[in-house]
Amino acid sequence: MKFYTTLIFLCLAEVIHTQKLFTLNGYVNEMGSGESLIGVNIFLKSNPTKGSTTNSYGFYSLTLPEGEYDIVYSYIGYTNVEKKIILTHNQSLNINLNSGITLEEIVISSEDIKKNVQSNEMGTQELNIETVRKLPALFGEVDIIKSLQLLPGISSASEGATGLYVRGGGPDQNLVLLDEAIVYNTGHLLGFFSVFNSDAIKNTKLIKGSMPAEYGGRISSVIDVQMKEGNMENYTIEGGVGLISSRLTIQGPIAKNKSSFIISGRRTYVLDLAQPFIKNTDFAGTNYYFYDLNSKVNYRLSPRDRIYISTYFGRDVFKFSNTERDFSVRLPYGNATATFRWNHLINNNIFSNLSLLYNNYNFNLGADQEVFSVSVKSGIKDFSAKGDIDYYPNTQHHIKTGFRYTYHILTPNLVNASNGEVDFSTKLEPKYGHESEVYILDDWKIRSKLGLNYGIRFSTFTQVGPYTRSTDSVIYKSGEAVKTYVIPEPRLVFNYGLNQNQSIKGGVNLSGQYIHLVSNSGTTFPTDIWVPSTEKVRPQIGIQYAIGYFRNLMDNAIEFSIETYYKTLMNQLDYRESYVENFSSDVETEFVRGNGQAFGLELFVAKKRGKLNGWIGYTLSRTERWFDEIENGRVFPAVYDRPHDISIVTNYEINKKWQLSVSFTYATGRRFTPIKSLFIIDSKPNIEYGPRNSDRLKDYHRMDLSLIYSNKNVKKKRFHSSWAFSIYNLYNRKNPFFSYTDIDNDVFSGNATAKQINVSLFTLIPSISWNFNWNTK
Amino acid sequence: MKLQFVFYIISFLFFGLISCEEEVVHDNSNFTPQYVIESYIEKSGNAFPPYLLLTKSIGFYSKIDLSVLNNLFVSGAKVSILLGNNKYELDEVCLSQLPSEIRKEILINIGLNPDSVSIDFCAYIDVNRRLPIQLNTRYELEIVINTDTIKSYTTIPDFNPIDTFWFADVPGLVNDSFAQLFGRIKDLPTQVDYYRYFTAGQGESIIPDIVSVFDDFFFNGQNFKFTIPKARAPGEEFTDISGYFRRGDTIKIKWCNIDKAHYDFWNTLEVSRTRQGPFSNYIRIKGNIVNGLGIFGGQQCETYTLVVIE
Repeated sequence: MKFYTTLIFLCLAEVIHTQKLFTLNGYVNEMGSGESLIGVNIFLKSNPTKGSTTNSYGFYSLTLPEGEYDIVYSYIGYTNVEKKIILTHNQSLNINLNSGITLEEIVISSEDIKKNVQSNEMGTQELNIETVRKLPALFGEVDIIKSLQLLPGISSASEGATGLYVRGGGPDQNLVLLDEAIVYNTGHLLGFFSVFNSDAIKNTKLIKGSMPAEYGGRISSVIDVQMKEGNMENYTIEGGVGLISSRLTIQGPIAKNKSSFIISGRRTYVLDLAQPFIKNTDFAGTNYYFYDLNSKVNYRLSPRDRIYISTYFGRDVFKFSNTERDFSVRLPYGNATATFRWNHLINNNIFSNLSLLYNNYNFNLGADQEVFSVSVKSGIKDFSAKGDIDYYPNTQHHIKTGFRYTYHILTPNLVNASNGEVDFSTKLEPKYGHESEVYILDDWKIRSKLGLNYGIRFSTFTQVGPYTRSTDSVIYKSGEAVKTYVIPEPRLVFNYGLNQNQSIKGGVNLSGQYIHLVSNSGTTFPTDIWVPSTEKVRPQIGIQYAIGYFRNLMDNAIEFSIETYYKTLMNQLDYRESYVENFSSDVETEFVRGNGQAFGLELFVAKKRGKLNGWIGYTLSRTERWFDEIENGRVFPAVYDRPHDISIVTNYEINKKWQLSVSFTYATGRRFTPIKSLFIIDSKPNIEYGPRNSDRLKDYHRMDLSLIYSNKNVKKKRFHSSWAFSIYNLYNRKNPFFSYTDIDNDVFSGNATAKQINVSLFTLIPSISWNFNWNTK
Repeated sequence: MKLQFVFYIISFLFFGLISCEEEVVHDNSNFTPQYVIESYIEKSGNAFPPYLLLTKSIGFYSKIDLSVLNNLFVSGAKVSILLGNNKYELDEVCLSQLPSEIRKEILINIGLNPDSVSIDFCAYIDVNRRLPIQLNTRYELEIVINTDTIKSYTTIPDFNPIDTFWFADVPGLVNDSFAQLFGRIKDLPTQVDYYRYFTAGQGESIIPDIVSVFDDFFFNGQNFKFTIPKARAPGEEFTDISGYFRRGDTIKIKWCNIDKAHYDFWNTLEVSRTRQGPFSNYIRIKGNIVNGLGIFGGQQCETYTLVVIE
């Protein structure tokens, strides 16, 4: 701790002693839409190591000694802009970049190509939405989360699922942000589709390694999703019609170049189409669909002030009805988020943002039969305030500091039931908590070859009342502290450049996590409950050490990296052995606490330019857990322990109208707990299971293909459309999705059989979707 | 209600048509059999004497034929139940030694269909009913087989009878042939009660339903009305009339109180049996046998005979 404090002060002292400087600042936007561009590289043509990048709002600030400079604005997929600046006073300069070369580029990293080598970041990837749209997709549904699974170090829960397991971490250990608001449930339809509508999304950043101090609350990764802001210059309508869903997005200026809006919606309709057939059966009224609605407005109050208001609302709705038995089930669940942000330029090189955030994930289930009824409710609701300051004292330092405060309300499974005479309830109370964090970090280019991103984050969590302690019935009043945890979270990444094209980076970071999701199934479920840290449930702590070698080849056309990591995970949660879901007790009494570790090696090679582009990722890893109360502390592999994981993604631009993409994935088979034996009780066979996760399904691999026909290169047309043809699982590989047992119950007949059967879910699936874009200009 | 059931319906509706199946062949070469106990001590007006079935677990064979079954039952064990300082030994009785009527009665009492049992096996029974049946008293089980010793214990809890039964029309569409059964209990407020029930249609064996146990969390100490569905026989498909009783039939309802360990065993076992599907995790069955698998359970029961309204 003392070391970090000293380091911060040394750095600040160094900043203060810098000579008098002038500042060039402004925003970088996309030409034609006015969308701010994140991560644009701005540097001196004469000395590319001196520069800056735009922040999450497209803002940049360069503070330099008085002089004349050629400034380059560079962003992959966009034409570079050069500006000659005579810096004799502070200046503001907004820049528009033209995305004229998108089709020829694979935009795996939306940053200057040398950033792979020269930035003080590791384990970080950005996925531009244009890249995601080219990839083959299940049922043609473009999916950001599934695209992330094609990167090294990321694996999925199961076939087609959107759950992410990052470097051996659990699915609850990823901080998923949509315009800074936390999204607690990222999947629709049991996780087969993500909640992110690609039409509304601008950019996705994944940090799987050394998390900078500005991020916290989860111990494995950050998935920072930014919504589009809305076209500032003209109105556009875009959308698409696919096999299972359709999408529509409208955006445009409210006041030209001052204010804009975007509204985007998506809804599935597979069972809607089946309604005429269902209507005349006993199951009339049965339906399932999901939808998402994103909206955002922004307003430039003054050159120094901007506000953004963005919202997301999504629901899965399942209705089941059986008139034969007078039985019905209704099951709506989903997320809602809202973000209000106020950007204020305090002075030329100090940028601030204040955010007010709200997010709510809730799950409801209601079932009725005659006079009997039951309803189940659970969820998590957060109210947050967040402030961040970016300070650019010179081209060597980018200092960031800020805070975040969140009030959590976590509702356990509240069950209400009635038998027509008496009402019953679980009487479980919601849990409440205050989570607070402050941080400071410095992204420091010490010399041209040496850089450091270091910082510290202090986080605290206090469980507060109303709460009744189960052990001694002590009652805590509303707001009264029950238990407080404090975790100092140091973060450090260094970058040592061997030359212009090679560097070695290393990092260590410690993170804490106070909100947990423990799943009792092979994947996460909408029914899984988020629980806070309490007297009984301690915060999870993760420490990750990573080191890597980064190199650009062939005039930066090829980017290569090899990273290794070792991660220790403390206070991991799982259900006790033989746990059976029930609503009668506080779920935290069913938890056991343990530890884990994960280690691995990741190789990544990307070709970014040319008609043929793409990447290859390979991961070699192990992930283990151990709990004193599970199998007597035996170390067992996590269910997502998959030592080998390969992804190959290629894009080929056949001509200006046709584009081909092929992806191939291979992973060691998923772990499962095998059947050890059968034993007879009550004259029926029953299963005794072997050691946890001690066997594997067979290896997973598949190839997908997409072919996109587009007429959008036809200039001067307001209406553009494209057809996307996609084949999922091209060679019809039967990858096991799950196993079930088929056992004759009449064992004493002497003719009983027992079988285990693997079920493959997605065999070869072709799909087609039509997408369009209409623009007033 | 298990929430995951709802998701099975969703996944079936959505993905049922695009999946395919493949049988897995298991390697049982490293399998070591374990002893399996199924034993009950029951207090009721017509209780079967305390008995114990001693078997061995078997590998996950593709076929459970007669040779496998004949090797399943363990003979020659010394089975004792301790009550206080007194030790009561159970007698080994083999089916082939018994007259066919008694054989049939035994099989029905231990929940087997006499017509489908094609092998001879032996059970350990307190034939002379020497073991006193007492409430809330610790019964200790000890089994010695060669050099192995297996232990367990159980208790017989207080009984809470069903006060009232009545029949009503089945919900939903009109059905003149079947009725649903309701019952009412006055739950005891001073303790956590664990219940298990069995049913039999006319001329059928008394069997537990797929979910046969529940506790009183939701209705502790209350006057509680509930439905009693007719238990489905092993392998019986769920149909529109599942759970309902045929009008005019004479049926039986067996209602028991069991202790916590006994409840945990059936609760985990019954959920384990239903854990089939893409999103389910395995459930390890929680028995109360040391050095073996299975259950040694005390229970206090009453069997009611009812005539379903016409």
